[in-house]
Amino acid sequence: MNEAEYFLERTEQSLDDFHDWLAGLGQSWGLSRTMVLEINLIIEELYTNCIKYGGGPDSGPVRVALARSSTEVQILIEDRGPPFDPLKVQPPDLIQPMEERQAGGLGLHLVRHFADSCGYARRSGKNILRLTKVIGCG
Amino acid sequence: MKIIERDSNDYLTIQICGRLDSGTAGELEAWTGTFIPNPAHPLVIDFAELDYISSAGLRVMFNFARELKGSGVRFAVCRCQDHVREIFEISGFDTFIPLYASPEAFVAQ
Repeated sequence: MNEAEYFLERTEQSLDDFHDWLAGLGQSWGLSRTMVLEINLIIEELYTNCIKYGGGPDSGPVRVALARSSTEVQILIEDRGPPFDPLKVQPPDLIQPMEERQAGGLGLHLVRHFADSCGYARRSGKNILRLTKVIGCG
Repeated sequence: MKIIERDSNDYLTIQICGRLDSGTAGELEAWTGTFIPNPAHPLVIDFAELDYISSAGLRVMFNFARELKGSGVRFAVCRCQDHVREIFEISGFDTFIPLYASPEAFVAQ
């Protein structure tokens, strides 16, 4: 089992730095480019969600922990914002015509699509999201 | 992210390169705010070098597509990478943003 963690600060630059870090990690863990992009997407969406609905700068950074086994990558995202379970958010209506559709709300839809499993818990004043991605043969 | 504009006789191209995410979506939004739609001039949005898009980028693309449609400009996204195309499809964007393999295929329509 390989493990790594990263603290995402609540600043604009932090996602860029994280992207570079994750690309390097993906390479040393032997993950495909698509796999890395999808993990990046899951984490970006949940991180921006923490920033949007979570606490201010006082809540500190968002912690991302990754673990790779031979069959999957586990993603853990922890923040100290107010209790919020993003997995309970109503999915957007994708079959509405463009004129009636809302521009937003897609982030969590993408997370649900690309994660093979996801779960939420509130523990010790923290929102804890656990997701997994199965490593395919592709 | 980088935006490159090119003008040919038949159509205008904007090429979006790099990453369209929550850090860079604002730049594209600012660009679309200055864009003057011309119904006589089709628009090709070239994604060949777009490596990554997240919901922040999709939001900007959605609003831009709605604006283009409203002003009667013919437009399409061309040369999407597979990963980006998949995100477009999962989001249902392919129902209102035409996707073409190449600018030539779009213009020939």
